[in-house]
Amino acid sequence: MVGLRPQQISGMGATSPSVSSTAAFDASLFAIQTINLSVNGTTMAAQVQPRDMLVNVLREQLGLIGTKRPCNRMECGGCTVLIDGKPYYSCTLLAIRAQGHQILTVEGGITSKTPDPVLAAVQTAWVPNDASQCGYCQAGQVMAATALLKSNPNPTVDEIKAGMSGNLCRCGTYLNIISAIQQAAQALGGSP
Amino acid sequence: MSSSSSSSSSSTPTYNLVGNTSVNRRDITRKITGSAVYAYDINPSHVGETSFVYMGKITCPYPSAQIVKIDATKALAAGYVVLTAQDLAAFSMISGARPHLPLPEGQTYYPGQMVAVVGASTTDGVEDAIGLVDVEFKPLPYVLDAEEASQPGAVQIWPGGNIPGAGFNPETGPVPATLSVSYGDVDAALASADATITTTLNFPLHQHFEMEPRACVASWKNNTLTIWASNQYVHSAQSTLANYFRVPLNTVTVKSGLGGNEGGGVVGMALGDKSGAAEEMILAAVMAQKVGAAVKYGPTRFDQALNNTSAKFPIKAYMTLGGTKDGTMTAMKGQFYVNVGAYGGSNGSDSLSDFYNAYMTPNVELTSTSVNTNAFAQAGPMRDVGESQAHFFMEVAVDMLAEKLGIDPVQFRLQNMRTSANAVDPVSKLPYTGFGEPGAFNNAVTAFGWSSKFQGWGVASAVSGTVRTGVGIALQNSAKGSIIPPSTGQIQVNTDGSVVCYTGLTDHGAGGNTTFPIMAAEYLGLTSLANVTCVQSDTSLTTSSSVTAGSQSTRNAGMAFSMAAADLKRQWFPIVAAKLGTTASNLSFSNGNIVSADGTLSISFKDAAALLSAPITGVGVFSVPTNVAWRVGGAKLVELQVDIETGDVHITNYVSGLDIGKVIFAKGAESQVRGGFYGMGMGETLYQELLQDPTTGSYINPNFHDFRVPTIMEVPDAVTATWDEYVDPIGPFGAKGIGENVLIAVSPAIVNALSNALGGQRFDHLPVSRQDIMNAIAKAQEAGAF
Repeated sequence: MVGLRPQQISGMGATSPSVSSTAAFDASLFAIQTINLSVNGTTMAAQVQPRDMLVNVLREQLGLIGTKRPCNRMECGGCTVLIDGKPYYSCTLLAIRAQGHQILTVEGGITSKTPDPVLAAVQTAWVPNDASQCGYCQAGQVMAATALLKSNPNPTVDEIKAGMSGNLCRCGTYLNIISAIQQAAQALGGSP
Repeated sequence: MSSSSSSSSSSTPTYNLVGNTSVNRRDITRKITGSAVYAYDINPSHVGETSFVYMGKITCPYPSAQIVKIDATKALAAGYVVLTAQDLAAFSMISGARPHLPLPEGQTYYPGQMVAVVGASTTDGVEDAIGLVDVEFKPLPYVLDAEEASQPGAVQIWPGGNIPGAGFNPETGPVPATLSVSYGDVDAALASADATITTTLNFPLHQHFEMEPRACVASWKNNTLTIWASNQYVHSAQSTLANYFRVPLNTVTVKSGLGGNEGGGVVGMALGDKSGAAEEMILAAVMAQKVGAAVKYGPTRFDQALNNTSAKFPIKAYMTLGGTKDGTMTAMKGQFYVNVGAYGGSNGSDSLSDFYNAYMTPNVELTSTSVNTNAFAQAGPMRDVGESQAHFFMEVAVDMLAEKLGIDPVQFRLQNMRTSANAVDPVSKLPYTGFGEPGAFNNAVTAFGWSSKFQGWGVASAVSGTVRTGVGIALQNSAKGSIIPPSTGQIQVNTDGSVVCYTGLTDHGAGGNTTFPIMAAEYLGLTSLANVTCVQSDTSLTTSSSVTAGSQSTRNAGMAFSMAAADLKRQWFPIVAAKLGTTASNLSFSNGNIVSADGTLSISFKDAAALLSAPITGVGVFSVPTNVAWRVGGAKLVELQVDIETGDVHITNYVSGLDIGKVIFAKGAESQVRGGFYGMGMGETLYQELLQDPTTGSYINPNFHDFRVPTIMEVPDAVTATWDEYVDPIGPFGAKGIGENVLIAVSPAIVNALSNALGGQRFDHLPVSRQDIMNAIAKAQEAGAF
């Protein structure tokens, strides 16, 4: 596994992190600990530092690269995941905070053995509505749409816009996204 | 909310897949389930590694500075890797108008230019390493504005002056720095005109802000370099890297994402920013060679915004137009100062050609001066090369002239536009390949209902309380499809009847992963894509098909496949004919079968494939004809509402009319029209601009929040895509191409509609901010317009 832990290459950055001069004041900030995360219904163990964000743990440790990190500063929504059914920007959510909660990512839909029914309905509706072009924002769009339909099974167009307003798409799939969400809502029969 | 397509197609052949509105985007499920691996997502396990060295860049914030010191002692002592210009081979310059090393020596030339790269074993380590490198810069005088930089006495960026010498446009080849076009007698025509207008218009600096940053992974194994990259022209990158390292092409492999098979080859948007080998890709390869490990470069959003490949470049336009009472535009005069950044060469030929191709104006004098500045790295493509800018200038100015002459804006354009009756480039004298005008223009005007909506110049079409409704139109005539490198492609038929098509082109969101196999399958008479796969954008599996850009990949892939299909017939039909008891020339592909001309003999595609003893591959090489002009016509119409109390703009209706020939991937084409309007064009018009602090030259808003990409809250109520499915005589199934054409001419349509809503007040720059709108409202009220 990758990325979050130092010294995989011998000698390179061996004293990492460079804040070693100040680390003494709170070494626990950098202490690696094992945490258990419940992702898409499966419990997964991860080795994290307290400062590690959930998006990086998902992508680099757990191999769940469906969750994207386009901006890494809460501007674009591409990293959206659901925590207990509510949407969160995982780029600014500490992984240790997600312990004990149910995490749903884009991998928990139609490609999962135990698909989340709302996410699966959203993904299914996305296809005929051509609601993705380059696709790099789409994990976030799909997760935000899932959160919206979980909290509001029959959203109006204005409610869809409000619910999706935290997710940018540079290709401009927004109108397609609106129709896809309407179709998913219909397929779900208006119940969450 | 509504959306529909219409066409005025003449009688064309019936196709199974081409233009079929039920065909879905083939890679969409992979992209919305996390199965698609983009370059930015690559973990070591994806590419057979156990770890990466992560690369990051050290940048200089000043527009220009002397590099006083780069002291890497502490970083090196801590075990990090650091590369500076001294580590690079002196012969290995980045070619172009201003050849340079991937890292500068002694001096920087634009804000955010990288001066060194570091390597660390973790992404956090990258930040730590950057902090351990001691850099010192001495700011130097700089110039940001092109016109200012062109004047005597301006800060000299380069020895010999700021006007670059013979430049190189990747789309059209070598071009001189100052371009002039002149015919007729403009001054005499202006002197005798019944009305003239003069205006100065400005288009600002943009960066691409594609969602996936321009990432790459580089690895050397057995003296062979492999790069996985977010890239739209892998064969160009392969060539640049082979030249840089002075190794044969067959020891360098470049792939988009994980590569070209159906599991990879995804790119999170490109827009011209991901064409070929950027400096970081070369540096990642240099670092990988140096440390003997795979290196990943995954830029931060800030890194990405400090771009070094290309930018949508600022142009300042001085325009004078003249016309006569009968509605003829008799004179067009323009001087353009094109800001090409620090390293850019001449850029502006596409812009100029749009002016003189769009209108039949007999007296034309246009001069475009490209000027180096310290504002950004280099001018280049962002969905188009200078054509969004040209159409903004042209179509705002033309609207002003029509108003002054008191002629309806649609009527004025119809009266002066180039149509199929005169489809010849007036400068190159080359005939257009195919041209559907005024069909596409008229389709859009009709679908919009212009005649019932336009109430007169500066007269709102509706007023409700504080909300004023206005309408606007812009004409389009854009240069497309002239990028020269030939397109190769292959189609393989396996003995079980499954088909694989191969192209060097990628899919960066435009839909090639669907469009290309649709065409391959249609040429083989197949009725479904179920047994067709497409291998793309991987130099180890495909041959070059030119760049996936310039609205020409549909044509390039399709033409190569058309030749490949003919080659398959040559190999396959004699075998089938022997089985059926006829001659090869009597056979054709039809509806999933191979049939005789009279229809009496038939064998299914699958059964015919079973006659083969081994798979067969058909080969195609399409060389872009240079004896024709490749142009796309069209019109963009906008209806919008302005709240004069708040300055809020809400777009209620948008209609696009495009002359792109036959539509191949119907759903994708309509999605392009939508996205080109509100994903990009509306942003360019109302929100976006990469701002620079005038006192320091530093960028103020290099992030998604402040660059102001449109959100779902701003989408229009309705978007309608109309096509004139004029069958292009060269393109596959009569197709031309779409990608850039959906953006060009959007901004003047919106700006002209704003003027119409606001008592005829004009806007001379983009973006039109809320403050600009409030100022216009105040002026209109002062003038008694409302």
